[in-house]
Amino acid sequence: MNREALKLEVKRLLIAELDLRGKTEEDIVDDAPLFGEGLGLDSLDALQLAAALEERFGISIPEGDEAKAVFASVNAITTHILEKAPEVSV
Amino acid sequence: MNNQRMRVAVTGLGAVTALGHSVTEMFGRLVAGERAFSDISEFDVACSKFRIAAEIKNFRVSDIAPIGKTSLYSRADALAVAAAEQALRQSGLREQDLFLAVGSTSGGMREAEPVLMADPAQGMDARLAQRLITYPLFNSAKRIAGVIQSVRHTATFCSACSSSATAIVQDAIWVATGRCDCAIAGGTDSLSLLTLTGFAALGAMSSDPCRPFDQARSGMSLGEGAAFLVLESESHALKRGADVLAWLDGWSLGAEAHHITHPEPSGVTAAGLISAAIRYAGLLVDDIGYFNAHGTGTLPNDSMEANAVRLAFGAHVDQVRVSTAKGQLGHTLGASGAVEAAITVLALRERRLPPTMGLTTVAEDTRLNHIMGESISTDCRHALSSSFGFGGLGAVLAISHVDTPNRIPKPAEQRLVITDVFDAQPLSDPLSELNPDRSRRFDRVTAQTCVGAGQSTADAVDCGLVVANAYGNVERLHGYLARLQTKGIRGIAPAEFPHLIPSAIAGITSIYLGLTGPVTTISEEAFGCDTALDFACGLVQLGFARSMVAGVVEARDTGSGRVQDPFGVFSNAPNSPDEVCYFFRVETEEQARAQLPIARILEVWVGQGPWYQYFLDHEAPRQLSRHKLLFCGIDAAALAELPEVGQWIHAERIEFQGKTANPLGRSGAALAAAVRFIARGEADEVLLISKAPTAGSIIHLARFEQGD
Repeated sequence: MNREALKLEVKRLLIAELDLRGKTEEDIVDDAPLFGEGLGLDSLDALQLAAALEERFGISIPEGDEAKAVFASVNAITTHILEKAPEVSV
Repeated sequence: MNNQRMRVAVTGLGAVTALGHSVTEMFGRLVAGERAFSDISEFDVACSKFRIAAEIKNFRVSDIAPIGKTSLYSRADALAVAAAEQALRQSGLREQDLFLAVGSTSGGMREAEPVLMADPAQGMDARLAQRLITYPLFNSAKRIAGVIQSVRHTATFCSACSSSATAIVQDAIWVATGRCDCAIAGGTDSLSLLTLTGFAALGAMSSDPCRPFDQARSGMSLGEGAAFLVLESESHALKRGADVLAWLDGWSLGAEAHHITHPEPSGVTAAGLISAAIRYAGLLVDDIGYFNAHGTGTLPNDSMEANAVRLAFGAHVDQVRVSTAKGQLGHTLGASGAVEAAITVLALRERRLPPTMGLTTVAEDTRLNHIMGESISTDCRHALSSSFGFGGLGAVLAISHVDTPNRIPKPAEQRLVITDVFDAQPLSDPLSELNPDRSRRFDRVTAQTCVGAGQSTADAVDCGLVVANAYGNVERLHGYLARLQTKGIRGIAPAEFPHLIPSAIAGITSIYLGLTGPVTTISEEAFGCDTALDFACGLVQLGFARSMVAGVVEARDTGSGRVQDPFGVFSNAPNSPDEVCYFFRVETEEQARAQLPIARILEVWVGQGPWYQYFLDHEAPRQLSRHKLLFCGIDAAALAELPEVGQWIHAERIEFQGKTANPLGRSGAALAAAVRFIARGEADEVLLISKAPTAGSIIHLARFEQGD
């Protein structure tokens, strides 16, 4: 599984699911924090993102502090997907 | 006596909840500590993860609806009719004119769900499509008015979980300002897949019966029900020798402008509402002996609410006993404000405070003087009941024992003015006007509301907002339910749910614009704008808000076309009706000083005819030289029977030829035209009469002159 392709897919999913109007994949930095300061996302977005990732990639997202680590950045999300579903196709 | 405002008496109560089909049964089982949770058995909830709730058993729509009319009633409608009839029966009122206000979050959702879950492209069975008839929130009010024939005016409110508290406030304002002697207010909601799955997706549901304020609390439990209160002016109640159950002495409404699903953790706005309700009742914090909490059992609500109570009561916090009924009859959403107001009335009257069941170990962050385990006897004279809904829309009611003196300060006489109007053509892309980072997931109606109301509120943070919108976003609801149908619970989008309750239109706009005054959505069939303006004017007139923006927004939505015409038989029922957006800012003359008012508001009246004839015969124009009589027919039939013009014989008579044919926005368009006549100096005074076949409105405007 190509990590770069997966990152791009995660960014597309972020834009579509969280309605990041006016943002493109290039605007989202791989390591930048998604919540709080970064893209200004909140807990409702976290729920939405978890549901979307679960549906798209068939993986489960942990709860609480573990989720925070997974949702830290696009890179962190990508790593989590690759760990849980190495065979995933984009 | 003259230094006090007229008191509002509670003279009737009615309720149908999972704890019984009457208020007496409900209260008896509440103080006995019974919990009414069970497996949901009255409808199919296979697709829901959570299947327990406080469900009402042995209640059938066919027991309430007249023979042959069952399909015109949703479960929520039938619950509402049953509770309203009980309340009226207790009050002993028979033929007296009544004004009716109803609060609900999801009305006929349960019956609409099978229709909205289906794919319209597959064709629609006519009997299934018919279930959309009861979908509109205003249907419950219509059904009550059909059964209680002395109802002269109805208004339907959706401010999320404070909906019926908002309806009670509207009723109290009508009575307190002398608009009517007798009124009936309450709320209704039935269990539905939307609310079961939506709150679950947000992680707000408990898998076991909820445990409000407990250390182990993990969310709410849904309930269903309806409750109504008969409110009456003190003089009317005493004159007819009515049994006054309690006094509704104070109330407050306000918004946090914080977040659509999360309350402001500090509770500072809620504390302000608690203090305001006490103050408007003419009381001090140490007068309050009982606080009937919203207490949903979710982590954020209970923590916020405990903070708010501590902030508001300060050193007196330990003297206030606190409990909530949600651990026994669940969260009845739009009905909860009225259910809990009824409980508070009975607690004072019966001198017994019910416990919070499910609460065994108070959490660190929710410490208050909770009533745990069993009910307690009380000699407290004054109590509060609070409601806090999604979008940060809160309401607090102050209720006093019947044997207490009237200490309500008389509000200053306020003269109302219009200081701003939004009547531009609705934008083709209202979202493009908004900050993209702050308007994610906004739909057309909400975006248009932000644009329209935003023009008038740029300088007023403590401003309130009343938005009329008849059907909510049916297309979006269909999207959510269709996904639930095809993909199951895992397919639904958590962030969608809060947008599917009509209160979101006003709630989200209040967050976007930072508005902290009273905020609600109104659902009406024809006079939404007038009903919104009426509520706004009442709040400002009595000093509950300094500045309000009221108006109507309807946007293109093929879904609402289906709701208006489920069978597709009416060629004029638009699949894509004209979009409308009109907003009016109402303030006291004093508040408006910085800005030259556009017009003075002399009268706002909405209701069933033929009241306009009385007005035309008795209310002569003032001694100004030029006045216009503007007639707006909501449809052609209404315009055909124009009233005699009485004292207004010399006025120039004009028939409104507005651009919009959308009946939902027509009276708003006419009001904008009336204001324009004044603004352009074309008239000194305008009397706008809007008419539909069975109801209408009067709005009387005059040129503003300093000191007149």
